Amino acid sequence: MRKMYSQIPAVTGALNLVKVEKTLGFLEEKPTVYGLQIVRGNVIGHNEIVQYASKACNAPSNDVDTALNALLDALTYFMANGHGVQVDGLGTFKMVSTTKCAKTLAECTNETIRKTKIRFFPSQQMQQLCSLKNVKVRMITFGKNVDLVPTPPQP
Amino acid sequence: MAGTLMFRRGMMKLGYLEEKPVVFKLRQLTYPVVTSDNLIKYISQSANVPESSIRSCVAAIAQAIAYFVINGHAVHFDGFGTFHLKMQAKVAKTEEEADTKTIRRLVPEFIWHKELRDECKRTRHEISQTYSEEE
Repeated sequence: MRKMYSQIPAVTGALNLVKVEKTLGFLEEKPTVYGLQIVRGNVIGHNEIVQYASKACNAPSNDVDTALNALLDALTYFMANGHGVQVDGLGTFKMVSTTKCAKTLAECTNETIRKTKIRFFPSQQMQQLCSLKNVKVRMITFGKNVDLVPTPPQP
Repeated sequence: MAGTLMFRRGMMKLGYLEEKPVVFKLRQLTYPVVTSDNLIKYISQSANVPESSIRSCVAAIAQAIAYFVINGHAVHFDGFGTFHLKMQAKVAKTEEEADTKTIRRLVPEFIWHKELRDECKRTRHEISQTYSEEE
């Protein structure tokens, strides 16, 4: 029996941060300031997502793989035809175009289209997951902590 | 992909300039957003998989992406794009001041892949005959 979305437990996150020194080159005095930076983990690919999702919803990995491929194809298809696409729990994808102004109506042609790009608007659920209440952050110093990359738990 | 984006011509008056010139600009026609339910119906029909299975799979996929992103990983789909987490924080003048209190917020971001960008360039652009005036 496959689980529905409401039965999938909520996830929490943990981020490792490091202090970084920056020089603000655009100012005349070129001051040195300090900021924080996220320690990046691995790049997760298609297969890892399929494995995680198939465990989370107790579905065969073949089904999840098919669903993921079909989802990406559907997203691309709808966006290419000017629709925004909403994915629950993730956000909305939209293809937007920027255009130049023309002085006359006749000059207002396809050539005035500057570029087309895809914009992603995270859903409220995703924003809540990414809020500081849900994500634990900790400062680390290189050389002292070993587990820089969080290990994925079993769902 | 080979989709079609529709545009309409619009007339604008640039009120912030002294001469208030009239210019013409193409505007992308907006279509209704495809909701998650409609998306799931479309996927189940195209993949020949029951809707309930697709619904739980898509939910689990979204959760998997969210999980990896909030744990500092980047999630990459070939030919589509990469999800990652961006941190907005204030800069501090001294090293001691730079702590977790300076974090403003964490924002999930999506960077689309070069292949999708190339596909996007192949999208046809059509201009409809509708015309509008705006200021």
